[in-house]
Amino acid sequence: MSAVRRSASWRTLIPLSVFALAAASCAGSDEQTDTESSSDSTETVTLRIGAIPDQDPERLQRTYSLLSDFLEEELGDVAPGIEVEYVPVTEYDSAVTGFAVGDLDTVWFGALTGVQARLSVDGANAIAQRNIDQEFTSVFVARADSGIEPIGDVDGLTALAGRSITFGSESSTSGRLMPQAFLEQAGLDANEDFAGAPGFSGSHDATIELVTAGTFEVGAVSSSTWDSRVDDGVVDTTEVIEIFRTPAYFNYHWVAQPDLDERFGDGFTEDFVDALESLDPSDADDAEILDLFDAESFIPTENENYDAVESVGRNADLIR
Amino acid sequence: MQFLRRLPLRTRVAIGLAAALAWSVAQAGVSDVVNTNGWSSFAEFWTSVARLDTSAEFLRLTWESTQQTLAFAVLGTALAMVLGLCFGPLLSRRAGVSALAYRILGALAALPRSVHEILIALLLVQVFGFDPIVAVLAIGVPFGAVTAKVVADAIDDADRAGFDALRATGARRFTALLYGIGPHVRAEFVAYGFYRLECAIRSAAVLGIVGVGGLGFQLDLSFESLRYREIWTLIVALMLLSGGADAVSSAVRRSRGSLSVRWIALVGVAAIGWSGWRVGLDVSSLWSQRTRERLPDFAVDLLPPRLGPGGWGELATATLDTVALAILSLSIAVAVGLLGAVVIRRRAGGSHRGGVPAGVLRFGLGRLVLLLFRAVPAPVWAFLFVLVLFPGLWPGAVALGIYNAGVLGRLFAEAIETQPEQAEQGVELAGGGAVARWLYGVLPQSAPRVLSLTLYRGEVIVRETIVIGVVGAGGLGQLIRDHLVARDFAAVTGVVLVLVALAVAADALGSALRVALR
Repeated sequence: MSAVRRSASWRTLIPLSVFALAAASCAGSDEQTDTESSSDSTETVTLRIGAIPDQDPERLQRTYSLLSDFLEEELGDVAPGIEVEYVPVTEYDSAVTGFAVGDLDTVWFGALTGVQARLSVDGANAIAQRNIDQEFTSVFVARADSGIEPIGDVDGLTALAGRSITFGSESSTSGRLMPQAFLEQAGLDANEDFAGAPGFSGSHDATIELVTAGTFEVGAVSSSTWDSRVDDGVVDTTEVIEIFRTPAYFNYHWVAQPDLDERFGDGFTEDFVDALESLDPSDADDAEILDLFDAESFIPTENENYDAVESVGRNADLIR
Repeated sequence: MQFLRRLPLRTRVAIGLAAALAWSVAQAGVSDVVNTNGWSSFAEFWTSVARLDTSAEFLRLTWESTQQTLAFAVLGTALAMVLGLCFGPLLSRRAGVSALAYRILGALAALPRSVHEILIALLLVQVFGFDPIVAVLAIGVPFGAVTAKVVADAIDDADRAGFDALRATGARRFTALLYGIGPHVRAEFVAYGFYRLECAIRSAAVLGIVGVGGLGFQLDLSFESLRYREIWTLIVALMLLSGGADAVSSAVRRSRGSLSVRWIALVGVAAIGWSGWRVGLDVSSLWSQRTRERLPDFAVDLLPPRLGPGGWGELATATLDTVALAILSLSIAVAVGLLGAVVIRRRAGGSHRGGVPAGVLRFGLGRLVLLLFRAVPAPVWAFLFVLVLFPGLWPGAVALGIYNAGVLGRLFAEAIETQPEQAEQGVELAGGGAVARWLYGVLPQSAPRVLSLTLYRGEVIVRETIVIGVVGAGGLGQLIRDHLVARDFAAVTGVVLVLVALAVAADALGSALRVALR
C-alpha cells in the first residue's frame, strides 16, 4: 500500500533501490572474498549463532542477545572486530537446515538435532555442553485434577494409556524422542495407545502451557525447563504436577562448523569453548547467562557422547 | 446397482458426493474428536480480541512485518507476471512454436501448479538457506505457471483479426502477437496481476510459518508462547493488508476498461524497487558459489524418490487421509461460505430488509468475519482448533474449511449479485419467506456458477491440504513433515509424486463434473 501512497516520490525510489541492490550484491561478494582470504584483516566478520527454539521465543531472544555480547567481547582477541549475530528460527528442523546450508556457524542443539546436523555437514563437531547435559532427564507432567498418580518406574508408564498426551517439537530429544522411547520400553505406542494422536506443541514452554490449560492431560518436557519454571514460580504446581522423571541420557550441546578456525583464525573453535567455560557463576553478568541456560557451567564434550541417542533416533526413524 | 443407472445424472452425482462425505467423516473418526478440556484456552483466544497489544514496540514490529509481507507478495507477483508473459505465448495454441513444444511445456507448467508454495519454500531453503530469494521463488514460480496458462488462454480466446492481418503482411509471430493481440489482453492481464497480488499476500503470510519473515513468522512466534493479545494485533494487520489488496484488486477489475497501463507499470516498477530494498533481495544468490555447490548435492538427496520407513501402507493411509481432509474441508467451506454469502449479499435495489442500520450492521459484520476467515493463514487456524479438537484430521479440516469459506463466501456473493433478481422478486411477491426466496428464487439460477467456483476451490484445497499437514494435522502433508524432520529428502520426493498425481486427478475429476453437470 505504501508504495501506492508514496507514488509521488517513486522517481527517487528507483535509483535508490537499484543502488541498494547493487550495494547488497557487492556486500555479498565481499563476504565471499573474506571467506577465502584469511581473517587477519581487521574488517568485521560475523559469527552467526543459532539455537533450537525449545523455549519461549522472548526468553531465547534475551538469552542469546546476552550471549552474543559476551562472545563478541571474549572472542575479540583471536578474531578482532568479530560480530556475533543470533539468528532466530521457529522450528527445530530449521535450525538443522540453517547449519546444513552453512547459514549458522555454531548452534545450540538437542542431542537428536545435533546428530542430524553433524550428519549433514562433514567434519562438524560437538564442542561444548552444560554440566547438566551429561545426566539429562525428561519429565512427564499431568494436570493435578486428571487423577494420574506419580509413577515409580518406566514400566509404570502403562498407567498413561488412554490419556491425551502432547510432546514438544517433533525433533525434540527430551520432549519427544526419549519420552517416546521410554513409553515404548513400557509397551506403549505413542500413536496407538493414547486418546487421539499425540500433539506436538513445538516447545517445552508450550507443552507446559497446554497441559496447564487442560488441552492435554499429560505432557513430556525437558527436566531443566520444568525445574526452572517451577523454581521461578511460573508453573502453578497445584494445577500441574510432575508424575515421572526418566532415566538419564546425554542431551543439549553446541555444534560447530568444521571451517571456523579457517574463517575466524587459528584456535577459534577452542577459544569459543574456552569462552563458554569461563562463564563464572560468581560474576553477576555471567550468572545471568548461566541462569538463562539453567546451568552452573559449560564444559567440553565430544561426538561419541551422543551415540546412544543416535541409535534411539535411528530406531524411531528420526535419523535415516 | 442397476437402479442407480436409471436415476438422472445429477441425482447420481449427488449420491456419490454424499457417499464421499460419509466416507470422509468415517475416515476422520467420530470418537475422540472434541477435546472439551481446551475450551478455556480457545475462549481466551476469542476474548483477547478486545485487548489487542497496542504497545508502541509491538505496533512497530507489526508495521515492519506488514511491510515485509507486502514486499514478498509484490516481488512474488512480479516474478509470476514476468514468467507468465514469457511462457504464456509458448503455451498458447495460436502463437506456439510447434505442437510438440506445446505439449511438453504444458506438462512442465502443470508441475509447479500442483505443488503448494509452502513445499517449494521448504525445499528451496535447503539450497539457498535463509535467503529472501526463497520466498520470491516459492510464490513466483507456481503463480507464474498459473499466469502462463491464463495468458495462453487469453491469447487463444482473443479476437484474431489483428494477428492474422499482421501475419499476412509478413510480420513475425512475436511482432504479430505484440501488436495484434497485446492490446486486446493488456487490461485483462493487469487486472489479473492485481488478483494475483491479492493471493500472493495470503501466500506470503503462510510462508511466514516456515520461517520467511513477515506477519506469518510473527504470528507463529506469538502462537508458540500463546500470546493471544499479540496474535490479534497481527491478525488485524493481516486483515487490513488483505482487505486493502482485495479492495484495490476489485476496483481495478471493475474499471479495467479505463486503466492507464503505463501509470500502473510505473507504480509497479517503483513497488518492485521498494520491495527488493525492503527485504534485502540479492538475486546474485541464484548463481552464487554456494548455490552452485548445494544445488547438485540437494538434487542427489532428492533422487531417486523412495518410500518412507512406513512403506506403502503408510503412504496409502496418508493418501486416503488427504482425500478425506480435502472432502471435509470443501464441505465445510461450501456450507459456511454459502451462509456467509447469504449474509453479505448486496441486492441490486440496495434495500436491506429489517431496516437500514440492522442491514448495514449485518452486512458489515458478515464481510468482516469472512475477511478474518481468509486473512488468517490456514495453519494458524489449525493451531487454534488443535486446542479444542484432538490432533488428527478434524482440526485440519475445520481450519482449511474456515479459511476457504472466507474465500468462497466472497466469490459466492459476487456470483449471486451478478444474477438478475426477477425470480427472487417473484417468490417474494407470492409471499415466500426468506428460505423459500433463496431455495426457489436465488440458488437455482446461480447454481452453475456456485458449482463451478466450488469445483475450482476443491482443486485448490487438494493442494492446500499440505499446508495443514505441515503443522501436524494429518495426511500427506504430515508425512512430508515427518520425512523433512528426519531429513529424508528422497522420501519427500516420493510423497510429492503422490501429491502431484492427486492434484492432477482432482483437476480431471473437476473438469469431468463440470462437463457432466453443465
